[in-house]
Amino acid sequence: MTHRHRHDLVRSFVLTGGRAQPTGTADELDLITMVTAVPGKPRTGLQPEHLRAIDLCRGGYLTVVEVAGHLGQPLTITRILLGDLIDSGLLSVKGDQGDQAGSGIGPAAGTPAGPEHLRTLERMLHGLQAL
Amino acid sequence: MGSRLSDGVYVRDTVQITAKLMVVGPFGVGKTTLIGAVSEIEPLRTEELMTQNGAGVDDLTGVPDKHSTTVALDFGRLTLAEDLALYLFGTPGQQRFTQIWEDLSRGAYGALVLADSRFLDQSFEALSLVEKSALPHIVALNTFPDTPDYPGTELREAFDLDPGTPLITCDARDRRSAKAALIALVQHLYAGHQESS
Repeated sequence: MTHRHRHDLVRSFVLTGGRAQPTGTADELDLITMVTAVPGKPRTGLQPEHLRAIDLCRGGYLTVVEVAGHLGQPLTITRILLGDLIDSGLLSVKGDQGDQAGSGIGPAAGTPAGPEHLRTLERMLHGLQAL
Repeated sequence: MGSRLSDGVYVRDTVQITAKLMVVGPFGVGKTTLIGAVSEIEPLRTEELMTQNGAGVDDLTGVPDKHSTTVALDFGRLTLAEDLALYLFGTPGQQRFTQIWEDLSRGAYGALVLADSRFLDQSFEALSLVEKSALPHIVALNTFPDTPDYPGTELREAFDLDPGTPLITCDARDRRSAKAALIALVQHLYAGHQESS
């Protein structure tokens, strides 16, 4: 745990128009969802932080958590920013994020289960052994 | 600022599946060292804000300014197959930030609980949080040059470990050792999934 200076946080919330909680698209964004910039979109009227996020995502796919790391913004703020950009068609989400267990609250929330996850674990194991 | 990142920073185009494992333990236990030892990218750091949502759930007694409280997350990435990238999420796992822990660990396959045998008790909190969230896990004792050499049974007793939870040792600085710890974790997760399916 760290204590951020209040003005940093105020700045972060200004970026999100005062929103502290992701809603809609942003709320559905998992931390390991991959996003990329959609080429050829107009960039007018965007805030510098939105532009930075788009520029970061122009070279390929990054997960939400990676964008947060590179932007230097907290995860919540990053998800709100990326949600806005996805809603405006400036960023796109990589097709099937099928391996993420997704939603659910409570004990073992979203812990992956089922045959496809067993297969993923098996491939994870082989991948690690081959490193 | 704002320029593109170098090529190796991006997720390989062929990756379709992203998976996540948690690395949990107190400050200084070696989470970031372990992640850095195996990650293909320079480990990155971000943070999660303590939101109002969590404030209702967590005990904020003693936290000087609840509005500016954050929990650090260090993470790395390993591309394990053409279409599969594994993310390692390192976070302290503090009981008073249970809500953030649940947010960060949602969808994770399991957790590696890291402990320092010189300060075993510092890892109890993280272990108990992982146990409470019912996330499958193993405990890895990060060995340091002056690590006392406890017998395994004593350590298991100290952690009050469930008989089914593996306890291993590792050297978080060493790539091979860090890799072996992850393999032990994934083997444990795989065995658990096999049983349940």
